[in-house]
Amino acid sequence: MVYFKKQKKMKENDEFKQIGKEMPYRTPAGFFETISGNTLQKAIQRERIQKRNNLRRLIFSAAASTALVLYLGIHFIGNSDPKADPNLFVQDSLPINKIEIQRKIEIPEKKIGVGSKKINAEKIVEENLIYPAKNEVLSDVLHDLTDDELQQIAALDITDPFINESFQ
Amino acid sequence: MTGTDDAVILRMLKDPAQREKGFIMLMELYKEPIYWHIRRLVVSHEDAEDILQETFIKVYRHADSFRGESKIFTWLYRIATNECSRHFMKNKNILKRRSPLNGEVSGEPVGTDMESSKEILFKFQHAIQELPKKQKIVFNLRYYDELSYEEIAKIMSSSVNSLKTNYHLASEKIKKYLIDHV
Repeated sequence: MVYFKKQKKMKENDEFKQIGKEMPYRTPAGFFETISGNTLQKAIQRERIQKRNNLRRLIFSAAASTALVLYLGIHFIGNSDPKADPNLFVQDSLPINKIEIQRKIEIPEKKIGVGSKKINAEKIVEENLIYPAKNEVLSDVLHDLTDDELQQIAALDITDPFINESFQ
Repeated sequence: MTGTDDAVILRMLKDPAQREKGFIMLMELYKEPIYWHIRRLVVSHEDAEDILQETFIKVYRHADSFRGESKIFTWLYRIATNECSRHFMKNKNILKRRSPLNGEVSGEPVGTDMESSKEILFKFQHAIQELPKKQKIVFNLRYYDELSYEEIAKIMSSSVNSLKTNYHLASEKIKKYLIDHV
């Protein structure tokens, strides 16, 4: 290679001394005379295309950004007057409804058998909490009664046709 | 090629007013060694021409990013070698089917004993083409371009010891091939 500083004679190259460094490949006539100019033209053309593409990309992204800004502006800023959109008032009551729905969901399902008794007991407790005055009167009356009186009331409950109509 | 020439060309490439002139100077200096480096790797002239053009176009477009830490020819060899590797990757299936020297060997006489010289050159090139990619690149850069291991290490981003091993393996394989086929 005439282009580079001569390297120190390489020992390895002696292995193929008989073969030499000739290349068996051919090149078309005048190839090296024209390749520089052709490559320069190609490089200039490639750069021009690249610049054009960059410009197109810039214009497209600017247009897309503008369109997005306009869209967001129309949908959010354009409807900012509450009178213009009555649905905005509905939003105030939405959170309360949501809480009510959640409470309903939290109530456990009725269980069959032993579990249902517990639920019924809980219901009674709840009712007691809701109507305390009414229950207080009844319990006071029952508390004051003697065992004999209570047995009479129980017997009346079974035999009295007005209390238990199923006997008739 | 001296360091001063490199510096002048690089300055011209970075100057928009002298860029084209600098590019032509660069090509005039390096087109032949780079072409032959590529040709030895890809064999086909058409492929070598495309890769050569691609290599110099990359230099033209990215001259600003070249910091001058290495020599220009190292940079050029590096780009050309990478382009060849990309070519191998891209045409993996096509190259597998193609015979290595199919229609690319010159009919011109080489040496005094025409037939035997031609045959041995053909076999020698065939043996090189049979080598694995890395061994092929190292062997070509060392044997034909006579680059030092340090320069090859910069081109291939590899260690000197690894390159020495690869060269040794490559020459052993070539010798074996020649013994078996000549």
